[in-house]
Amino acid sequence: MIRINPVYRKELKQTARTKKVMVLLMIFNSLLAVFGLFSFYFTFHGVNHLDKTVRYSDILLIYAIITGIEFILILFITPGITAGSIAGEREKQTLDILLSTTMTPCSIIRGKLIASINLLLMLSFSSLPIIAIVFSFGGITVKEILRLIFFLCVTAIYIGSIGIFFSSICKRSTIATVCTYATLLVLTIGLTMLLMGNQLMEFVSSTRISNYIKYNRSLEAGNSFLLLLINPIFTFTSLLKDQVGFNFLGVGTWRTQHQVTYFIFQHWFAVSIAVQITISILLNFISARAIQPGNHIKKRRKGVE
Amino acid sequence: MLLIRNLSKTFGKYKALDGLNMEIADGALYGFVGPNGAGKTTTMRIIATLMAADFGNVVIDGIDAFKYPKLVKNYIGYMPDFFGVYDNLTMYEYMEFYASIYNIRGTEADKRIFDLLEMVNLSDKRNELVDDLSRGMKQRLCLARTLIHRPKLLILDEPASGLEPRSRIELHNILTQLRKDKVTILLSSHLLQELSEICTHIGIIDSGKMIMEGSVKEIMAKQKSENPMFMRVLEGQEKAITILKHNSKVTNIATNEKNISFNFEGDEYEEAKLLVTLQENQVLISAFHRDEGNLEDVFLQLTQ
Repeated sequence: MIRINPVYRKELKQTARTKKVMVLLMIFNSLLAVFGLFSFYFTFHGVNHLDKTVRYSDILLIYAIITGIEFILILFITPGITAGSIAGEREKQTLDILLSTTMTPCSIIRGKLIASINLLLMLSFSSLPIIAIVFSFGGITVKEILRLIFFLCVTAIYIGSIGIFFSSICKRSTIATVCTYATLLVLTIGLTMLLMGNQLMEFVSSTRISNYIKYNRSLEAGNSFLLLLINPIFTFTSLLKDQVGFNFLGVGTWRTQHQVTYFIFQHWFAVSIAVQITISILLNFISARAIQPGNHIKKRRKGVE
Repeated sequence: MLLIRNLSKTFGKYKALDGLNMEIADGALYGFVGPNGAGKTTTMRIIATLMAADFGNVVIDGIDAFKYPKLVKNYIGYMPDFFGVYDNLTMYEYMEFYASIYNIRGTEADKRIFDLLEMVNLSDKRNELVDDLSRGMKQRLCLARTLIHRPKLLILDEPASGLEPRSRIELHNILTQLRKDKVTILLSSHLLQELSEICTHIGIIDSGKMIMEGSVKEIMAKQKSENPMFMRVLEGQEKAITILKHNSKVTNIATNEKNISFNFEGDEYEEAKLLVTLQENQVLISAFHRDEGNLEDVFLQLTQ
């Protein structure tokens, strides 16, 4: 018989009984639908009144916008869900009881993380009908949708692990939440600004996003750009580049003298996913160590006997 | 069941435990008492493998708790002094959650949950949300939770704190029943009179050290020789006081109408000799005894 993680099972029961999930699903899908319909409207509004031509590459923008909004929502929702998971147990004074049982800190962390991802997966799957708008025009296959969901899962695990990490080391869930959002900001906007400030200014000042996307740029990039592997925004843009050919931030087109770096630039999506999964595993391990009651054996070696 | 040797723990410069020794026999209900900050909770948390010690040994049922903390967790049930419960879970689900942690499932889990809720008089509320329960009910539920895996040693940190008298009596009845079922219980409390009534053994800790340990009878007997003596003199009170004043082992004589109290350093044999002397001198005595004392007196004397 398969043994389901007890913490995961408990969290599922608790989450399913709150109105929070229902409200979150409604807001999440409403926002996606609103943005999807707006981009749909503006795409065809341009066709009817301006040049009377249909540019199918612009239609794929709908997919990019909807998935982009979905990605941003997941980036914002995940810290809120995960940052309170362990600190919340500590605040409710249930963590000690849990740690006095045979449940290992690793299992507790795993249960909490899977429960959070479960909720985010539910959000992703519930948005499929909205993403399916683009199926009516073609250009996106089911395989690519599955790849998107895989990416969203990895992002949820990655950001979730950061949330759980802060939740494990902070005593209060509010502090853990603030730390997680701050880290997320540094990781996404901070790193991007630091390494690509000029490029972004150019992006902001361009009148039409689609023109900018088509703009053929090739940036000389140093090894410092490899830091962007931990930035999920770049993973997302590399996914979009593979799926619909839009390359917002020029991932994959950067020039470099170094062969290994060049290889990484060419396989950005796979490498960044691998890096983010590795960081997640590492963070979960540190989180488990952080909540583990004193390491008795280590103390003994120091001379207890 | 539990053997602690030379246990030490410091928090910064503060020495919480200073070479603590403790021994609890199988099936004992051990009352752990001490002033605030004496080290009771720290000791209990170390036994429950929630905290590392700086020095010493903790052996539970023959297993070194520091070497095999995971194994030891199967033998202990821990109830902290302050604890919370989960939102949106019924009492049955709460118990089922902890049962599943110990891999107890299906009909076996159902049976244990039913029996335990029955034992703590909560079986009729099994489908109520735990968050809605009163403090007394939560205490009883938490006690039932600690028993789900049938631990050999129960560690209860102030289980009766904040409970009204009826809930306290119910809790004590459950603990007495558990002792009959051969569960060893380590219980800390500030309610000394109640502890002396239900416990088989007492350990008194102060400043991180065990200052007295033994069965309740032993502890009371040890302290008895220091308790004052009382006698009620019906006739010859002045004679009695003169005799007492001339006895080198008598100190602190106090009178209150026909009652005389004094401290006497002698043993039972010498007490009898004193009584004979008084009677030979025509002192008419209706009562002559040493104060039995209680745990509170012992505690106050030892932790001054």
